[in-house]
Amino acid sequence: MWEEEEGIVEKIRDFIDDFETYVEVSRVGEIARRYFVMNAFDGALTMLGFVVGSFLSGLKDPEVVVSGGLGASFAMGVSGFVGALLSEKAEREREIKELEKILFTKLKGTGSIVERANTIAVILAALIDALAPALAAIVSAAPFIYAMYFKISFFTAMTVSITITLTIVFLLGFYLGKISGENPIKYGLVMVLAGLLISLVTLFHV
Amino acid sequence: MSEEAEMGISRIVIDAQKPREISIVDLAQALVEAEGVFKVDINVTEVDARTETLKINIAGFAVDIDAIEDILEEHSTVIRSIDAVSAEKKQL
Repeated sequence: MWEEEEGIVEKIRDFIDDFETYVEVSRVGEIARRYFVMNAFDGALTMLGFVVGSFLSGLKDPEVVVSGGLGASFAMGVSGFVGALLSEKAEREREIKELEKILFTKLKGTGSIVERANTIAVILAALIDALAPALAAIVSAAPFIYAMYFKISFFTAMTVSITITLTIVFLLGFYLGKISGENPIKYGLVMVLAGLLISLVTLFHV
Repeated sequence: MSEEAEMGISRIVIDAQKPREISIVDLAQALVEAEGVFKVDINVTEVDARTETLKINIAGFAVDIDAIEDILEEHSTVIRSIDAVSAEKKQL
């Protein structure tokens, strides 16, 4: 029994080790970070535009905002997954072909680390591309989901939602600042400013 | 002199080329796990934009060359040439 447990722990450790190697070899970390920030920003601002738009058009039903917003973010998630999967796969295949030419050998279909790492990288990039906007949109829509079941006014839900969205945007900027080693707060504020500008544009379009 | 004797490759020097993303630490660790291998030395002799050329020294007893080739292939590393080999016989 004890030995069996140790076997499982060992297997998990091996899996994590392998995973780390694949991430390192495929250098997917950088791409994943970029996808995450870009698409979470997309998701959050789509929701913001949706909320502001529906408020201004006099459509004050939280259910409409939730189903519309979540529908949009679900579509973004699916399109993100397929788009990233195909474009990453194409990019990686080109790289493998280039390496094959340099090394004068076949790498595709050999089950080598480079090949496996690329497969993992493609799936990881696609998953992040799909989940980041959906997650950001769901969190932004949370106050409206709450408003569907409990009695709070549309205006309150909207205020909370906009606050949450701007917080997400700020955190994304903060994260970028951390990555770049620059001032995270400055980055966060620039992102918030960009978000506000975009919602202003939305205001004038409705 | 005894009739029984064990023999095999005791040292091999491989000139190889690998993609830069592959770590030589991982490669050395994988190679030293192969049967009959006691010691692995890897030197990077050339660095290109996408690849690195390696001099791999493997010491041991009855080193299984096929296993070494498989490990190198798994790490997307190509053997350019085998530059030195020693074979030994051990009296039992």
